[in-house]
Amino acid sequence: MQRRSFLALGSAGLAVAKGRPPVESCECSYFQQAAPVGSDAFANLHSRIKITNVKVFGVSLTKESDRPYVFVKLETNQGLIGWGVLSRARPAP
Amino acid sequence: MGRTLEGKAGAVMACVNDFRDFLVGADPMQVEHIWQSMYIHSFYRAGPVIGSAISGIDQALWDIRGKALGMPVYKLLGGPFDPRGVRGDYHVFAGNREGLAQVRETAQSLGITCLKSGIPGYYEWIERRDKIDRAIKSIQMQREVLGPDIEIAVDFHAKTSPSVASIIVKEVEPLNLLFIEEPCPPENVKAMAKIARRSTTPIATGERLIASYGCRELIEMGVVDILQTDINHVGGISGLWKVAATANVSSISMAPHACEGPIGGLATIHVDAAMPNFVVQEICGQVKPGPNDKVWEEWLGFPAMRMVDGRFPLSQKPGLGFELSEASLAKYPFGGTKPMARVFHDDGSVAEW
Repeated sequence: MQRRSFLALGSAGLAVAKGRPPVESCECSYFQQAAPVGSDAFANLHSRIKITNVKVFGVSLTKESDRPYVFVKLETNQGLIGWGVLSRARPAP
Repeated sequence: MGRTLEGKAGAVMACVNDFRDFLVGADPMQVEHIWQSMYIHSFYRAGPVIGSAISGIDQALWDIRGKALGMPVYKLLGGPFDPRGVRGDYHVFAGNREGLAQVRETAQSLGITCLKSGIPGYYEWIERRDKIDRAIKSIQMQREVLGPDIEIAVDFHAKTSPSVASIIVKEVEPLNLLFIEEPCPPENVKAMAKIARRSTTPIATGERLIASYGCRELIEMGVVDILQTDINHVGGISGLWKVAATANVSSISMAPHACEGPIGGLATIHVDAAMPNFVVQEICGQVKPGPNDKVWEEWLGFPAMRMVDGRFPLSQKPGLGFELSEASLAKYPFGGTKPMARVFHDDGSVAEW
């Protein structure tokens, strides 16, 4: 028996013993079969969220600013939005 | 005041776009896997441009992760250590006693316990004594006027050589400064070590370093007391978190560099709140709100980088704890990449700034 299968069985048994459903029902999918080696190694661990778009914005507080902000916005198929920044700006006038 | 990747805005925007095909379709919950892919599959190890692009993307990934899990990022990292918030310092630019006295009064009324200043002018590798004395007297005046209850950090901004910095550091030792920042250019770790050997004042550096790999030599040589990596360049939340953990095992503290902006600033506060070796978080603002504070509040709807009783409050909202609209940013269109500051000594040679 592979280690992950063993852990999955143990976890499910423990959960049932405590009156809770086995862990697989939460769709966390941490106790799947051993992942194959290669680019799909993490396929079974993925959430259902996917990045659908990457936007990058330069923002200058003044026309003369030599330090514009650069913002990054990640959009997803679940409507979740993530923001980041990778520079900063000079003080506004 | 620290500086941040000036003159490279176009390059970092292009770099983010270079990562686009890799990111679209990826699972944003796989933050570390994406971070590693961006860093390692770039083949050429990340410098400031790739490091900054990774940083912005990583912050956005953590923002999504927190929102998906319904939890503030600092809680995902195991924080907070102090539910009152994150201790911060504003910058002080006053060059005379009257101005410093006003800053002290305002700071004390706001519960501020720490301020950060700089040294005046630019310095040759070997400098005249009168110029060195001016720097020393400037720091002495700050301590005299600000008093013993406000901690003072002094940023040399790598304007000084190891020789000049060593003289100043030795002279100001009785002032019990919180730390001296970038006493020499950061690329020469042995030069930094030379200064550290001559002083008991804590030495801080790191704002220009990328990823935990970029801090390794400083940590291993025991050269610094405080690391100041910047979340906008070191590799985002993941990068800053790893540096803090690496520093912690070597008894080195963290005072992350200020991102003069609300997004990077807020992201840093989340990491600060979960660091066991955190000292203070700087922000490039002053004791009285300035024009930038107004713009940031306009964008986010709250005074993002203003302290309450000397601390930055912790958000209870998921992710990084804010909403931002593209429309609010569109009021400030990108003006293109402009030349960086250019500073020269009297003889025309290029000066550190």
